[in-house]
Amino acid sequence: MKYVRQFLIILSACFAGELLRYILPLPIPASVYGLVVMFCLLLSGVVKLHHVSDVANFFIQTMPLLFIPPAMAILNHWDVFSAIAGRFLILCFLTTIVVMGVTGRAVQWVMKRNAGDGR
Amino acid sequence: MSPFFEGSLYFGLFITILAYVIGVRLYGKFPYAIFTPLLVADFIVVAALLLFRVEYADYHRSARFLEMLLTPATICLAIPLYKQLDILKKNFRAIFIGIAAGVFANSVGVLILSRFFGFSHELYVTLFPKSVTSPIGIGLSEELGGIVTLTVASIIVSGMFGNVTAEPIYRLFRVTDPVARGIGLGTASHAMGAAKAFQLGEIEGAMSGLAIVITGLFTVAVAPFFVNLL
Repeated sequence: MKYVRQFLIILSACFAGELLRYILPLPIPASVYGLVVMFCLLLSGVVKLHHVSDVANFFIQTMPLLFIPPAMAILNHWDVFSAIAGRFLILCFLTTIVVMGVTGRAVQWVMKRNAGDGR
Repeated sequence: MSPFFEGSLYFGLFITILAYVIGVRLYGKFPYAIFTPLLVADFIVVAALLLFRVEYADYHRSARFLEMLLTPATICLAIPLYKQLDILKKNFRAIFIGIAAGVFANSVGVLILSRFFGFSHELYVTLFPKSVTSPIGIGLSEELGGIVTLTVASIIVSGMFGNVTAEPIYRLFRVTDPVARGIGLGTASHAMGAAKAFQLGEIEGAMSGLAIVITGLFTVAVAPFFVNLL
């Protein structure tokens, strides 16, 4: 029953996310609305960590598995993709390196500067 | 064999999970980036679909049950985030400035390379959301008039590449702080980056979960300014 109850809480956040998306039709997916809902539930103490942690750990650990099916969609668009594959991959590789490096450096830089201010 | 697969409800699920388990085991024996479970599993599933001549639509009818779990899985990122609330509060400014810098770098990078490669406007807006989590990226690509499946492909390539190469990238840029590492992974490679971040540590994981959400929102916010530049 413990797992069912935890699953129910997580699913209710999913459902709340869908509802919010319906009410506030910004280009924000239901999952992000749901994440904010879950975060607020935890912050307000309505949901305690132990109410969700087992099932949540299961979901976080199995997450990589969930990316396999969407990746296969590329088989359906192979002709469009193969025409630009080389440039497409180079663009993704280069920007990923730059974004990860720049973001990491920027966070470190601000943290050090703040530490220098004595904060 | 095709008629069997057309009706099979479990083949897609079975082959996907089997491929992932094989991937995890292989990585346990050979812990090199090239054997990242997700990468190995993708290859196994593609090979299996080609070998048994299974249509993508037939595979998808079965495997989409896994995709349904993406929303609850994304929502569960709130839990590690909540656990690391103190670190979030303490480094609030650094985190926001870092993510803003990352989103800006991504937008400018895609713009420059798209121009350089002579991509059309359609391809440019298709690739624009490549750093954000797929649910947001799909929505944004539709909004901007991109080719959604290619957007999904670019998101997956960026995620996988970041997942596999995070450690060399951080050595190159000398990023050592766990908060900075987590934020960088989430900003560049969304949930696949988060999967890597969780392997690096709890703080890294929580920060990457936060970065996924904020990166998505920032990218949606800056898109109108970048969309007409090509």
